[in-house]
Amino acid sequence: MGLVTRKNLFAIMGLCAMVGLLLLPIVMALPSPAIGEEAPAADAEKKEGDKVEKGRDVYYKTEGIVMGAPAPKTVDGPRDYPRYNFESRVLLWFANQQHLYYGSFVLAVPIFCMIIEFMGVVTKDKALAKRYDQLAYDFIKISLTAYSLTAVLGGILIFTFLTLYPAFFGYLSGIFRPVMHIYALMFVAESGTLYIYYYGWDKMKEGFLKWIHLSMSVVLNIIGTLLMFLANSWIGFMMSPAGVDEQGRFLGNIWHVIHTALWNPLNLHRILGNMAFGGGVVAAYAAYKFLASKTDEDRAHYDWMGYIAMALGVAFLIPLPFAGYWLMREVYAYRQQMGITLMGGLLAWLFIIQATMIGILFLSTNYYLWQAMGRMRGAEKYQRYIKYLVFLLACGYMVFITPHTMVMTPAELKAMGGQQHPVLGNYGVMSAKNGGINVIITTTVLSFVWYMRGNKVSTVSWAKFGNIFMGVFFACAYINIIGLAVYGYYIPANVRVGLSVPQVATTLSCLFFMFALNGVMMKGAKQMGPIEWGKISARSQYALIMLATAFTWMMGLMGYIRSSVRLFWHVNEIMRDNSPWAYTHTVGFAANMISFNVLFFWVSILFVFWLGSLAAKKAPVEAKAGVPGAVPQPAASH
Amino acid sequence: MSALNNPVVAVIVSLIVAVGYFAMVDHYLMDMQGLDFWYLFRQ
Amino acid sequence: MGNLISEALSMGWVAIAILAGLLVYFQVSIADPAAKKRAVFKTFIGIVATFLLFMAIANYKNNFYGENRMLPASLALITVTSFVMAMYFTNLGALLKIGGFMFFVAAFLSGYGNWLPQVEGGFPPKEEKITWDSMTPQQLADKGEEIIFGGIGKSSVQGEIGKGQCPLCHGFQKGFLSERAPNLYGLPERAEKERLADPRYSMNAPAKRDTVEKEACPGCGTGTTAQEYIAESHACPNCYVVAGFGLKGSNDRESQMPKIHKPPISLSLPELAAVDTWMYLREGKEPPSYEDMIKSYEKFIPESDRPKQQEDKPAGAASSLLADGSEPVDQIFAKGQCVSCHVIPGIPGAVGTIGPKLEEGTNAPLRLKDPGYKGTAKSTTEYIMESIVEPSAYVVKPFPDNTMPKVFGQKLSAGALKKIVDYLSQVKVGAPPPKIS
Repeated sequence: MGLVTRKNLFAIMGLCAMVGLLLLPIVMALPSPAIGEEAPAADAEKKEGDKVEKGRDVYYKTEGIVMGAPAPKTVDGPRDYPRYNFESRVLLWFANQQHLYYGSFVLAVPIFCMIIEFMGVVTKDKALAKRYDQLAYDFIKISLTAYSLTAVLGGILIFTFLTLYPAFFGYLSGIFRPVMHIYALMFVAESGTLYIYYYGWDKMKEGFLKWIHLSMSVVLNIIGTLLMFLANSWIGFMMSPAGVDEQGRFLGNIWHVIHTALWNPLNLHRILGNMAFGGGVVAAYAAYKFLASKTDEDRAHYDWMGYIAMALGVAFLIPLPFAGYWLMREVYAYRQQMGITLMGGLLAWLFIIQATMIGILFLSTNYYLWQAMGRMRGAEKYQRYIKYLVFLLACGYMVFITPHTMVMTPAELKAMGGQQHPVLGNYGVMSAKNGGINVIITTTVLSFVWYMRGNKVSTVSWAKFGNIFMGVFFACAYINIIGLAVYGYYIPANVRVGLSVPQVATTLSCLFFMFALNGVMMKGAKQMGPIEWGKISARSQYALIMLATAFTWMMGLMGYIRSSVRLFWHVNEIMRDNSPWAYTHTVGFAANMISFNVLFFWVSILFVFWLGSLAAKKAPVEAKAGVPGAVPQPAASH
Repeated sequence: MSALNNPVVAVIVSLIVAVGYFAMVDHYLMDMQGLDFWYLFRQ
Repeated sequence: MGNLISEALSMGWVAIAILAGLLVYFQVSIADPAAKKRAVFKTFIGIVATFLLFMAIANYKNNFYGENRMLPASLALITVTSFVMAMYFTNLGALLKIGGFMFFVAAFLSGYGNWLPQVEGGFPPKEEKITWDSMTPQQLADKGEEIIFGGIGKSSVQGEIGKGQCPLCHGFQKGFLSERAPNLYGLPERAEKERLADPRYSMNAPAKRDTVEKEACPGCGTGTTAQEYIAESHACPNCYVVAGFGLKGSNDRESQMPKIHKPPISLSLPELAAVDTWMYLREGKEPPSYEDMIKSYEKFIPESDRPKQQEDKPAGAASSLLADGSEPVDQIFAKGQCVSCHVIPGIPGAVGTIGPKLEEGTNAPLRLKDPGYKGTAKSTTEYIMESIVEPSAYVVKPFPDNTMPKVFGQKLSAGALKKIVDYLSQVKVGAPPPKIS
């Protein structure tokens, strides 16, 4: 008893230490605004006789006392842009992207851990709870190796900045001085918390202590998220500066500098993106372990792990377009020209690639689900319908990736004899494109529903009606989406733009109503047989890898788009890029560069996985005891 | 409940619910944007 | 291909030689024939894979600065290498296959990106600091010509239009078409000799004017010199309207000219001074000094109304388009100056009477049926498009031909034209105007 209470005491102390670590940067930060306020006051007194120079915030339009130096006007040369015999921008691009990949992976995995650990704690089934716990532990183990790499890459990034863009980095760090210190402290806090969390896992696995451990993961994630928000603040500042006057002089309000027009949309978009990305990486890890495993138990475990990671990743992938829509709307609201550069101008072809990739992501997800039905007895009844889904997906995909208008010069316009190409003008109308992507998502929803009821037969009294209703509802949804897409051709553009809303609503209705209805129908359903984890084709694992690679690629692509929309500005409209690399690369060059980054990331992380597997081989097979294979799978496992 | 398990009745009821629901979705969501869903038919 | 192989060999010969040495060593050292065969075979595969890998590297190196569209070929080569290796090195098989597959996905996406049309964003426009006050009159006049006509030396071409959009209505050369507004040839002289002396101008007695606006701003007074006359006309077109050029039906009490310093044109004071300098200089007249010109404008445009000088802005508006299609349709109508000549239901400020009222949802079908119609349009939207791009294809009676500028096909983006056509085709006689989008 005494021992237990002592343990409890230690655990609570650990948690307190974590919260303390979380609060540390905030406490440290408190004096700095205070000093900041005193300093200008003193300055003001000193200058009372002369004059206090005031400036106007470029975004908030408030007046403030000038407290910083103006943005330097750089000139091409070794002073402002020292270089190796290579394009500095590309080097920075590489360093940035690698840091971001590892960083977002390291931020996403603890969130997964938290969710899975929580699922483990609340699950009543003992065997399943143990598996969840083991899975969460596996996740954090993966992220731990990546964590140190993230820190190393962060260091490399800073050195790259300092050596290649000293003037720019000097200006940014001048503005963000207090934030950067908080950031560094947060990083320390994150490391401390992560290690306590990881090494405390075995010591705190029962009862009350487990809850403390779970709270630790919450604290860990709060720190991680704040860390990301801070990093986003300087990206937001570069795109949509605020808190400075027209010359880029800091006006004394650090909150304005952080809270720029695009900060919050970026925050949301990045959290969701990180989660989907993290899911992809873990799924790829599971796929690797699955393909490399020699025993049925291993295969069962990693099959299951891959499925959970995929499901979590896709769950965060679905809201991602809506967050993207918000970000885009804020971009348009901030500077219309920026929006046009993105969607209809210089960078528009990159969005065509993005559309292709979104299609690929959904196709891979569907393919995986169809393959996954193979591990269930009773799912054969759905197999023969899959060809129709393939047809639907293919049609939706073709419509979705067709471009409608690209930027046209007046000469091209004249050559075409009107605003649109006489034939091609009929393709790729927005409502039709929306129809395409909504058909794809609805089909994905349908695949999920089929997967979830694969090995089950509903026993509720209204089962027959439920099935028919579900079928009719899906059919009507397809008719509605496609009908709206066709209808768009008959009405003028300003009415047509509104059609996308009912289209999306239709898809979401399918998602929510049909998942809910299916859940109710399958409650206490009769099982045709267990899900035989591990009895899945190797091809399905390649679908997971495809998902992960494509997502990594898309992340690189979108990051490139976001960054290059500033065109020739270091800080939009405040600090010009006068280096020889102020132009925008071709689509092809960008694609090559993104591929390079993606492959570098994957080769390095596969190497990390491989190292991990070497270490695991040495350890005895004690952890494997809890891993099931023959343990019957309760319905709640998916 | 037993009447609903008759396929014909089930299909008809489902159709009415689904078609009605989607018509409402189309109409009100367009209306919310200040647009007229039935534009073509009012010509 | 040949030089690729030779380059791969020259780069990778050390590695290949080591492997070949290993091959010989296995041949000699391993006694067991089965093990010997396996080792030798695996080494051979290793040599092939190494060679392919160096091919990929050579291709990458060759094309990095040259034809970078060929770079994805390297990725495809590595894919092949990985799968070949995976087949025979089974203990690393999963890793190699996964890696190979990733290279394949990347090669596909990269290839796709390279297959699309390649556009490179050019270098940013040179950052030019415009220091108006230190310019010579000639430099100022060049700037002015650019503002009016969109380029130096374009003043003698009918139909050239710059940021100021003046030539949409005004003629600038002797004999140039100038139906909607006075031809400005000879203005500096005329201003002093005729306009200021015109009793309707009521110099120094603005209250006596019969126009809808008496003064540019309360207490501004009237012009007293030729330069002040020009400045006042820019700042307050309604204060004095040259006989015959007023808004139809207003009996020359109201002008159809927009205030130039107000949006959407928003010329700044230095820009207006540049325009005026050109007007003087091109006729061989001595222009007033830059400071005097600015003063003349400051007299009529109160501080709060003066457009901000946009200095550090990139010449993003470097395109010569009047509207790029991103604006709401009412702004497109304003930017294209359609509103100066046409009444457009639902568009605020569209009260011009030089051209017909635009209710094309009703009118266009009637026009298409008119036996006098000689154009090529088949539908309402085509008709509207044709009327904008080729105004002379069909001229509505009783309006005269050649009044509407023929430049809109070049001066409005495809998107802007489309928005105009969409809007106008929905305007019907007796129906509420459509929604502005």
